[in-house]
Parts: sequence; C-alpha cells; structure tokens
Amino acid sequence: MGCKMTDTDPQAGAGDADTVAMSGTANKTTVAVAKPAPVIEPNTVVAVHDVHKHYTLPRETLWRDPTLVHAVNGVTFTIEKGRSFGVVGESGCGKSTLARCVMGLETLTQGSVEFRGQNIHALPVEELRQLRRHFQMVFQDPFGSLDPRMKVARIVAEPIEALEDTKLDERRARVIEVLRAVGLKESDTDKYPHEFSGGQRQRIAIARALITRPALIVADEPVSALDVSVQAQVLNLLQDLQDEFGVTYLLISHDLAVVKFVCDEVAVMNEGVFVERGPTEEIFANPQHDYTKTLLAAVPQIGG
Amino acid sequence: MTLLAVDNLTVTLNTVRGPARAVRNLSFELQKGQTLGIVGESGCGKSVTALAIMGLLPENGWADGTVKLAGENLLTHSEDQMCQVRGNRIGMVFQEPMTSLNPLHTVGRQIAEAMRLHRGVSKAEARTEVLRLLDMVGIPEPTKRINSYPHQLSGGQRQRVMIAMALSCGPELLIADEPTTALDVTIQKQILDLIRNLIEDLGMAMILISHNLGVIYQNVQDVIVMYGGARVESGPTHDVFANLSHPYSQGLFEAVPQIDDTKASRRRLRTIPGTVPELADLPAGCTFQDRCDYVTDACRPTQPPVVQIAAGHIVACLHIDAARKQWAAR
Repeated sequence: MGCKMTDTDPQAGAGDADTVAMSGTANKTTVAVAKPAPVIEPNTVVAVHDVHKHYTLPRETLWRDPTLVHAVNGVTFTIEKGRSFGVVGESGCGKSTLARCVMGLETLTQGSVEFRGQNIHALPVEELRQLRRHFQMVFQDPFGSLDPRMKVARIVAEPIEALEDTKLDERRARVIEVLRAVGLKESDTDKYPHEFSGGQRQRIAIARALITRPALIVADEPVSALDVSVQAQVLNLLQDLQDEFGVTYLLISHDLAVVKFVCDEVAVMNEGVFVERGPTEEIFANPQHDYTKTLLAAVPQIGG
Repeated sequence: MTLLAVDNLTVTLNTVRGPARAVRNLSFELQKGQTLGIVGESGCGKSVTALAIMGLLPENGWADGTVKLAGENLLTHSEDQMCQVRGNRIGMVFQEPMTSLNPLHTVGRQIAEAMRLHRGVSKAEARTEVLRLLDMVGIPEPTKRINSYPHQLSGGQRQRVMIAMALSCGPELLIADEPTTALDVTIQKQILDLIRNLIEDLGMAMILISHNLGVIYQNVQDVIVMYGGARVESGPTHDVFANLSHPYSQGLFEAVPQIDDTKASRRRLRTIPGTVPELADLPAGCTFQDRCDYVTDACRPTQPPVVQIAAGHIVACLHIDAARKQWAAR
C-alpha cells in the first residue's frame, strides 16, 4: 500500500532509516482533533471523523508480535461543496492511505467517513457500489492506471457501464461529452492508451472520473508523473472543471506549490496525523507547526 | 583552466521510427571547480548528454563532435581507456538510488569497488576509506552501515551512498543526473546541501541535471536550458533567471506554480500548448516552433541564430526582442 513508515524522519536528519516509525503514541498533538460527532451541514460533501487505519506488518520473528503501522492515526476534516481540500506531506506520512479510506477502498480501524451524510463504511456492499458514482478517484500514474488493452471509449465508459443502466448510444454520447470537457477529441475514442502522452492519459483518467458526474473527486498525486509544461495544463483543467461543474476535490500531493495553487484549505500530514490545518493562504503565510515550517523551508525557490 | 570542453556534440539514437537526434550541436565549457546545471523536460536530451560524456550511450546510439576532459577527447577513447576515466576522473550520481545500487552486495563493498579497481588499494585500506566517506556524506554509525544492504537503507541514505561511491576516487568532475527527483523535499534539501558543500570543499566541477527550476537556481553557477535536444538559452544562472529571454524558458518558468503565488492572484497557470516533440521527427528549423507564441515562417526552414544578449547569456531564437518585450510587460 506504500504506507509503511520507513522513511527518514525529516526532523531527525538522516538517522533511524530502517526502523519503523511508530506513530501510534497517544501524546501526539494534533490541531484537528475533534471528539464529538461532526454536525453535518447540508453543504458538506464529505465528513471524515477520527479515522484510524493500522496495518500489520509481516511477523519478523516467531517470538515477537508483528509490528503495527499506524498509517492514519486520528484524522478529522470536512469538505464543503465546490471546495478543494489539500493534504500535503512526505512519503510514508499516510496521505495515500487516507485517500483510500475516504474512497472506501480500505476498511477502517476506527472512525467514520460520511459522504453526504451516509457512513460509507457501514453501508451494505450494493448500496456502497451505487453510491460510488458520486465519488471517483484519479490515480497518480497515468501509465499504470489505464488498461492497455482497452480503447479509450471503453476505459472512460467503464464506471457508467458498471453503475448505471444506460444504452450504448447514450453511453457513447456521455463519453464524447466528458472527453471534450477534458480537452480531448471525439476521434480519440477509438485509440489505445499507448497512443497518448502522459498528460493526455491523465486527462483520460480525469474523464473516467468525471463521467458519473461525481460530487467528489479524490486525486492522489494527479500531476507528479507529468512534465512541468503538461502539469500546468492538467492543473488548469482541474480548476476549470470545478468552475464549470462545481466538483469538490480532495487533493493529495507532496508538492506544496501544487496544493497551494489548487486548494482552498490545506492540511499538513506527518506520521498519520494532521499537524496543521487551515485556509491555504494562512498556512503558507504564517505556518505554526515546526514540521510545516521545515517543509516550506525545504522547497527550492527561484529568487531569494 | 578548462576541465571539460564539449564541442558540437550530437548524439543519434537508432529507434524503430528512424534515427533520432537526441542531442544536437551542443557546445559548452566547464572550468575546474565550476558548477553547471542542465534543465529541461523529459526527452530534451539532458540525460543523454551526461551518458555521452561518460561513454555510456546505449548500443543503438553514437556521439559525434568532441568531449575533451583536460584536453583528451573522450569520444575517441577505447572502452579500456574509458574504464580508467569512469568512476575515477568522472563520478556520476544517478537518479534512482534503488535501481542503481546492486541489491546483492553490501554498500561498503560497492563504495570500495572503484577504489580497489582504480587505486589498487588493499581491502583494509579501502575499508578505512569507505568509513571516512560514509561519515563525510552524513550516514550515522558508518561501522554498522558499511555492512548494510541497499534495501536496509532509506531513499535518502541510498542516495548518500551513491554520492559516496561517486566521490570515492576523488573525481575532477561530478555528474549528478536528477539526484533528488525520487526524494522528499526535506531529504532533497539535505542531499543538495551535502553535494554543494562537498563540491566546494573538494574543488570539484559539477554538472547537475534537473527538471526542477528551483533546484537549478539554488545550486549552480551556470545553466543551460535544453529543448528537443538543443540548447535554447544559457548563461550565468542568476542573470538567466533575472532576464529569461527564450520563449521556451519563459514558458517553463510560468508553467510552474510557485509557492509564493496565491490562488486568488493566479487562477490559471500559463501553459505551453502541445507536447514535447518526438525526437525521431523533429521539425527542420527551430525545435520549439510548433508550441511557440512568436513563431513566424522565418522560424521553420533554418535553425535559429545564437545570439549573445549579455556577458555569457546566450539565446537561440529569431524573436528575442518580441519575447523579451512581452516578458517585461507581463
């Protein structure tokens, strides 16, 4: 799952590399801890309440209990309709696990994820499946997340094929509509993924997420694999789609500048918890937590 | 004193789509102790340039022109002669520390390899030296780590090991090809600070290859911006960034969201339309013509002239004046 906490703790320098950072201690200070159950505003698209996700690592010896990794360790937040919430942090901080928890792709150790007031982890399988059309995901790697043997039309239509009872010509019309929305052409429907560049493939992935007309899109590092000039095109596209369709975003990224560009609100994640959270402008202008300051200071800037 | 003189370097790769000129007529000089950055997007020829200097081009590729290291042309060296240069006079740090280290050998053995080969030192001497190197690149408890395998180290530590390997024979030139791309920002900062300090202490020259403008700005004295295998702009780093003059360099700069931008102040990023051209069918004339705002018919038939606009600041474009005027007015 890529969430083992084996990377160097940035504050500890280059030390303790191959020890598993155990972040499960109760004395971790979090800014965002809110114990009472969240009050669901009518405008709230997603409400994440005190989510914990622990993984068991393979047993190293027979005589010791297997190590537990606390990938996500008590995270609470809500996202309003049409807003963008960014989670930023370094590899191993638990941000991708958090995205998968919000998408209902992981079972939670503790806590709840409510999508429009429904706890998705408590829903029966079939109901959750039906609800899924309203929240879709865009993955990081545009080369690994599209089936190389399917044509674009089928890749993009797959979510509605699985979730809705639509006729062939209606499906095709919807495919063309979303492809246009992401800046691709009608003639692209009969091509295979390998015929596209990285940026175009990420557009296809976004089109696939858009086709069910979701209220929420969870994007896990959507531009990390792209070249700079192409990254800008995709970031602009995300903004345009939000303006046009009022999509809500949960954006996961290690790149502070990307999060700052896209998001209204941002949370800085480290070792499974939000160390700081607030309106983007405020966090970047006036970071309070030492870890946020370290992160910001480490970004190589042009000028200065 | 000129350490490395690259003159008219052209690298051709035989691909299924025909010969692709990955690097075209690239010339630059590197003085002893000087640091040079090469920046560009994937496929611009920056890594192939490094491989050509190291004599590590893939089998379907060859280089024309000259690459002179302290006066000797490396391109005419035999493989045996190149083996005396690689790892000895030129050290290289590769991008992906996990795939460039051998998973079956301890890091100590891998760092010692070049010394044993080039210097003929004994095992015991090599061990002492490896311990010194591990300490120098900031790995805690070198006596323990010397027996570690790569998978037992974190990404940042592996990259430190790569740097120790590259520096083991005290090279005159260090080539670092995207040394921090796979790393987190805080680790990236540690590694770049380390490289910069070592270069200063040891008086080495360095070629730093990166796609990240910030990394280039912070770490090298001179910069070359490459696009489609050719140099489009070059000069002293701070002069170039203060006065970006090629439409591509300008576009690249504008396409990157900056941390001091605000969402309100900059709702849209300026993008470069289209994508990087295929190297196998590059247009005649300027490689950037299909994506450029200033393109005219004059750009299409011939290569753009190379113009010096300030001391050492070189731009290859027909429409520099228009581009600079627009840039100043933005």
